[in-house]
Amino acid sequence: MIHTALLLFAFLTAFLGCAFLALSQDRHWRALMERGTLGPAFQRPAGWILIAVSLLVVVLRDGGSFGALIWPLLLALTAVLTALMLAYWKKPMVVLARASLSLSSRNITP
Amino acid sequence: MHIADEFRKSMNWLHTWLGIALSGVLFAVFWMGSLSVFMYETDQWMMPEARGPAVETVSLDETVLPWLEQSDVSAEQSVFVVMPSVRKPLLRVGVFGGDNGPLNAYFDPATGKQVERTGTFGSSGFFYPFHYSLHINWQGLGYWIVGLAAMAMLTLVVSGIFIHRKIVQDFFSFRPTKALRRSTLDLHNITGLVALPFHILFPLTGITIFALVYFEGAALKPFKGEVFDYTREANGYYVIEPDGVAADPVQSVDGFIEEAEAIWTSRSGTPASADYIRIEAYGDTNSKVVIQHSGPRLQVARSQGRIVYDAASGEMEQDFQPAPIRNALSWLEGAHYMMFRPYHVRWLLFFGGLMGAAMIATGLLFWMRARIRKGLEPTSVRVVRALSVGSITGMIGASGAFLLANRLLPLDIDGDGRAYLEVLVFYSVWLLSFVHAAIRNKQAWRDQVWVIAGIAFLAPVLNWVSTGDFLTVSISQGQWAVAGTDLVILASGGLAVFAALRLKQTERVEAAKAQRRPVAGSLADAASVPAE
Repeated sequence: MIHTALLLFAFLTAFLGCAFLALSQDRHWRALMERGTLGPAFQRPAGWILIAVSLLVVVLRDGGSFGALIWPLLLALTAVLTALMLAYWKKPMVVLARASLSLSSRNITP
Repeated sequence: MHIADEFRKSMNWLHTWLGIALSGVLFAVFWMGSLSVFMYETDQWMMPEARGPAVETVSLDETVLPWLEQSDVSAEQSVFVVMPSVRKPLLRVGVFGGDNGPLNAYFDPATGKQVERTGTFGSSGFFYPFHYSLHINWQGLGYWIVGLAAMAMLTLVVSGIFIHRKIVQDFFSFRPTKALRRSTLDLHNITGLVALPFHILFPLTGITIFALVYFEGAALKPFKGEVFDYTREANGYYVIEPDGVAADPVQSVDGFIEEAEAIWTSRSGTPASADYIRIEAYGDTNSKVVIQHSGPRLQVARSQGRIVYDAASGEMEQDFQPAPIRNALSWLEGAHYMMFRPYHVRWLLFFGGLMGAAMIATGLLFWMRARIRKGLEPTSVRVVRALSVGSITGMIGASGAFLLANRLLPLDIDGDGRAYLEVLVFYSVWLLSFVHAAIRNKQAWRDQVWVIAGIAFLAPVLNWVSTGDFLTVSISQGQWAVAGTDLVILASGGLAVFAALRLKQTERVEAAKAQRRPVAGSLADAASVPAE
């Protein structure tokens, strides 16, 4: 049970990490939000931190030996998922972008 | 010209031509390799009598030894036993060498009874060797072609990084609504970049696994060219010759296995079980029992344990552990062999393999469209297209046809006849796919993708009809190998339908463009006509 939960958690952090990194790029941010807006600056460090957390969870759960196989491929999976969602299923990405806007109040544009 | 541009240009040239020369082979290797990740699960799908529930404890004394006594096995022959496991539910015993060999028998560990196995090579006997030998055994040529392709793959990955202009900017960019060329290149870049560690690790370890083939001279140099000295040092093998004096055949091996497993488990700290047993010089005074352990369950690194017992006295003759330098390679090789148990790792590696196959296919597609755009004479277009279609969709379709043949061929064909018929179906369908592509030209992609979809939806139905294991049945019985195979096949069918619809849409858009073009051209002509 805890094992499955940890795997799910590693997947979620890796996915959110990739999603934040994608949102931190102007091209993807503009495609999701109104033109002229800028994504909050915290997204890039947040993305990297989440990806680091996923590494930690994978290594804690499966050890370094399996972790060295699992983590890079988990990132591959979540990065592909991010790219596919940006192309075909934007809605959750828009929700995430709005959420990160409201998290950082100073970047809200009128 | 700037030096960086010059460099990029030469890398581009290398990437293009090396890619074209070897992408057919590389796609076959990655496709077959990906299928091999689940080869024992596919085997269960292809051999209904080998479907679980898996029982891992079995007495060889009650199954294999009586069978050996009945089968007239001589001291000159070698006996091997493959132990059952969750992934391989049947116990297999084989005899090779001698006049009456090779012999094979399968036992169900649950009942201890011998079972008649479906005549098939299965995935582990066909797809798996395909991915490293292409089944070209003459002079080991297949191994060399695959080795060359693996070297090329490493070169392609590195040169690909150099010629990619916007690695960071384009990292998450897939633009399916843009021109087909753009979206194809996007897919090529994404699948290549995200799984980059995989694309380096697998060709590299593939080469090191066959070091003895590719670097024979270097590997054997310290051993003065003697292969046997090398294998004794690296793997602990040594030749066991019969004395020529008849003795009672070995009466019990279960005790040896138990003792060997206890030694390995306490030594490595993770559960280790014997997966391969050999009996040499059967029924001779010098008879030996070799217990081997090569597939660890809960670690990536391959382990290599070999314990040899004297059959008559029961004394331990050898307890082999590889030298530390051998261990340095064992994680790398273990990652490629994937003998471990955790399934989430297996699924991720399967995904990595498919990313590789997708990268190669989209790379080839991108090049082809670029060439056609630049203007290539129609005959060349036809040839290039036929080769690409046959090596991509043809290869996928032929693998599907292999599975269909497995479920459709009558069971009562003797010997290996049935297994070879399945292989014949594979190659016939593959060959036909090239011919079909040459005839249908532009429509070939869509036709073949539809055929793949048809095969994919038919396969689970045939499995259901021939074995009664409909998806609901296999899932409720916990037959995950069978259910998983069905589900993956169905999913690829869904993907094929999506691809076919997408291809149709693209054709429509291009046809519309082609219709507009002459109009625009004539307007321009009209405008450029000087007024009289």
